[in-house]
Amino acid sequence: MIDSVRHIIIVDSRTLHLLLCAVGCKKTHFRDFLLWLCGFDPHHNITRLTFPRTAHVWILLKPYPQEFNKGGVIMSIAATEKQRLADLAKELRLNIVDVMTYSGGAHIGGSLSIVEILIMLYFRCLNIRPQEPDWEDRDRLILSKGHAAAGLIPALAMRGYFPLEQLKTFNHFGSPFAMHPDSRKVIGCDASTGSLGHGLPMAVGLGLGARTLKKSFKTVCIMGDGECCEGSVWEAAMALAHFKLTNVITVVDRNRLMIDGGTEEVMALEPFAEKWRSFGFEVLEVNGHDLDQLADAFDRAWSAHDRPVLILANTVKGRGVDFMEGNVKWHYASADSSLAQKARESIGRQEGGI
Amino acid sequence: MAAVTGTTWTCYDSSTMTSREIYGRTLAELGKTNDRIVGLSADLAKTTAIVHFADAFPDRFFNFGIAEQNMFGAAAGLAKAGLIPFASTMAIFACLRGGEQIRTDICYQNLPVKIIATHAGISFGHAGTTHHCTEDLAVMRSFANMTVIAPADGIETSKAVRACLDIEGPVYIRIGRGFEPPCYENENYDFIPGKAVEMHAGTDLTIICCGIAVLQSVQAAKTLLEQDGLSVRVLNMHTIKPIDKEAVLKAVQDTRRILTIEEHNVVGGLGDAVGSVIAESGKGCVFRKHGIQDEFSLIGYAEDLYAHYGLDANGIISHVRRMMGMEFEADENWEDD
Amino acid sequence: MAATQQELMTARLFFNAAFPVMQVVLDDDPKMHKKFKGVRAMVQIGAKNDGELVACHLIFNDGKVAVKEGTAENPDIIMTFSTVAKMNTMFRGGMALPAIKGIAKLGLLIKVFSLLMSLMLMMPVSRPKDPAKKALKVKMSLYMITRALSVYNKAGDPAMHDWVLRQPDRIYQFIVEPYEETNIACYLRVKAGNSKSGHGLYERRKPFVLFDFKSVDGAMKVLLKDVEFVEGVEKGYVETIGSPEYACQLNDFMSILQSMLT
Repeated sequence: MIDSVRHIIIVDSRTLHLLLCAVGCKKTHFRDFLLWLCGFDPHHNITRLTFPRTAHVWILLKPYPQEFNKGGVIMSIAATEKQRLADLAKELRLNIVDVMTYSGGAHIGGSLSIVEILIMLYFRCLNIRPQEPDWEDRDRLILSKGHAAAGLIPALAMRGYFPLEQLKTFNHFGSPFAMHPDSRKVIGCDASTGSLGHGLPMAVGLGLGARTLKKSFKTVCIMGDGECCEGSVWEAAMALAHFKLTNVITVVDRNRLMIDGGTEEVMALEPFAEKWRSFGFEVLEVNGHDLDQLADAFDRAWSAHDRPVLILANTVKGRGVDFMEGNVKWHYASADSSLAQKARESIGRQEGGI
Repeated sequence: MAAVTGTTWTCYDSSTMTSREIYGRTLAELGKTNDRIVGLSADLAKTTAIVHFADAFPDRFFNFGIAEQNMFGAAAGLAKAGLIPFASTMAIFACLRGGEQIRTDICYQNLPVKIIATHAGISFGHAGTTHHCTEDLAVMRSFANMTVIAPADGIETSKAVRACLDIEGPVYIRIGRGFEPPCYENENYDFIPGKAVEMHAGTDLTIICCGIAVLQSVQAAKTLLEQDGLSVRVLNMHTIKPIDKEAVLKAVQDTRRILTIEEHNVVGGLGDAVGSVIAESGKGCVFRKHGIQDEFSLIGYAEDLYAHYGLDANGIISHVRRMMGMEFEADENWEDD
Repeated sequence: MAATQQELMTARLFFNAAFPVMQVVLDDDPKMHKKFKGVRAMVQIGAKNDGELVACHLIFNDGKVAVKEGTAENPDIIMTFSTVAKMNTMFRGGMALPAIKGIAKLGLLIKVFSLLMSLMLMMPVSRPKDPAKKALKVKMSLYMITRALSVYNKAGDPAMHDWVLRQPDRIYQFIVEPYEETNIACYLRVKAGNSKSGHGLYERRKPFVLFDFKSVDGAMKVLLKDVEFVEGVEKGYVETIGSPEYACQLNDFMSILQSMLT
């Protein structure tokens, strides 16, 4: 009751969050547990925290921000870890440029835009065993935007599914590697994709399958933003919400470009985040090249328990190579050896992380 | 006193009315011993009789609403997780609306998804062409890795569903709307995918058929034997892919006249499959395909359409007689008992 | 007073569909069988209609009865109703008495009356408990209804005739299980305008629609309209195999006929 209140403390929820981090709760699960224990609900503005000895203290919490790409510090990953991931990202970019030269042409723009996402998944989040690629309880990754195989395949090689050397056969006769990933040929690839709009429905099936078989593996589905024109994507979105499939994590690579132009010129997707929210998703909008934000978002997604999560990653097509960035024509291209070298140099100059 | 005419029934009664469509019950039975079986529907569970499985195993049944593409994509996902999905919807929506998912997600990845496509052919006659499917055999035949089965009646469908589990990859089973009269007495006969069943022995002409045409062909054969003394062989070619080449070639050898009957366009279906076998064998024979003559069907009750398109016993009799060069005879005793 | 088309049709149905069912009674009811053993007689039943006589005559011949339309040459008994309507009323179980010639042959008259009364078993009010009587009622009702359907077509009812005209060779078969015990089965064959009702199972081809009653009791419930047809299917009293639309259409005609005859 108000009259019994002695102190009112207004605390920014982010600060509270940071306080908890500072106290050493780096593990998101434990952090979330503590917050839950205190009755913290991110969807309400006011939460009463009750502590047994100071029962008359009310704490007003400001709402948990949905968008945290507006700056602020998220200390989700340690500095050394972050550096490791940043280096891997650089390495993957270089490998992608190599693939473009081996194959004689690749979907370079869309592959470069998901590099941080792929690194985050393959080197931090996914529970996988490269020595046991068919392990039943592995986390699954469906690259619904299958044309980014030029990014996926080198990532798999780097993670240890097969030797990097093999990439030299890319697109060649009899090679397992081509423009779109073939799950029957590429070790570590969970779904044959390429025709847009197919990945999310398959993820629905995997989510339902995991639940039916009482397994706890997660399925991550990476889609392109243009891909979301396909009706089947929204059929799957409805189903994910209807079946409350929180074991499926959807990622959209929002690089804002398609083939014939920008997404908003060709077939407008905005208000994009709102659409997903109205379909029953929790939308986490991040800078798709910021490792901290990505880590935080994936951590939240991993521990989601009442609504499926969409990670809306704002990215730049062709990220890492200055002459490709944001340029629609680099959706699919090839480069001669000197231009490829310029690309490599551009990548070398990039800062790790942001 | 005026009589009350008309009959009240709703689509929810359809699963009790179609008592001869037993595959739903068979699936529920199989579900007891095989816990990898799951059922899928696109808002047509009662209409397609998969409701019996759904009632028995509500945790292993998923309804995707009117979203066939999502359903078949999810079927692929469920198969990838290690389950055996049985996905059912109307043939036209399976084969064309979800067609790309069937080809790319299921056949290309060779996943053990079993598709039960109902209301195939013109069996949903009065629903009009948007709900007919006279193209599915042609489409499904052209997908690599797909096994295509068209059972003759509810009993054969049930046996096909059982046999499905022994086929590694995807299977497409096309059936009618469940009111088809039974062709077989019981399940005590050998159903082997890829092997035709000889329903009636004969030496003058062979009818190769599938689906509803089987019962009609057998009746036609009996009549032809009695009335015309014609000895007609009837082969139930329930598996269109892989087709029983041996049975076809033997029929060519033994009878030298082949008539194919199917509830499907004459283009691309059973007729063309049999025709290819005959043509490649290099042996001459009289060959006629009968089905829907590359047109969109009229509207009407299925049975009337079958009569109109000559897919019933009478129609088949006249085709055979034409092939043998004879005229139609009447059989008349119209005294009431 | 002239009879209406409806009344004339009803009379015709009684003569041609209901009366022939007497043969079933003579065959299956032991008492009735004994009564008519050795009986040879002719009975005319009719009604006055605008100067004419709408009649039929029954020819009894040692346990067999034949029904012929029209007047007889030298009948033993002549029953004449003053109007067709009155005659139909009596057949439906109402009160209406005919003028009787040949009342002297009292013995025969009593026997014939009792046989006519036995047809009342088919009435909806009649609910026998005895299993033999139940089976008899079901058999009589099914035989009558199939005959009535065919007669209705032959008599030229436009709707019925249209329906029969549209159909290529089709069999509508009724059966009461278990057939080896009940021996109750009958069919209606229709083909391009022609119709024929038959007893037993039509052998020459599979039926277009099969009404499969699972038991005598179940058949009774459905025929007495204790349950709606669809409910009957749900409860397992009857199963229809074949085109549901045509089954319903036949059901419709059966309802119309039942309302005329009961």
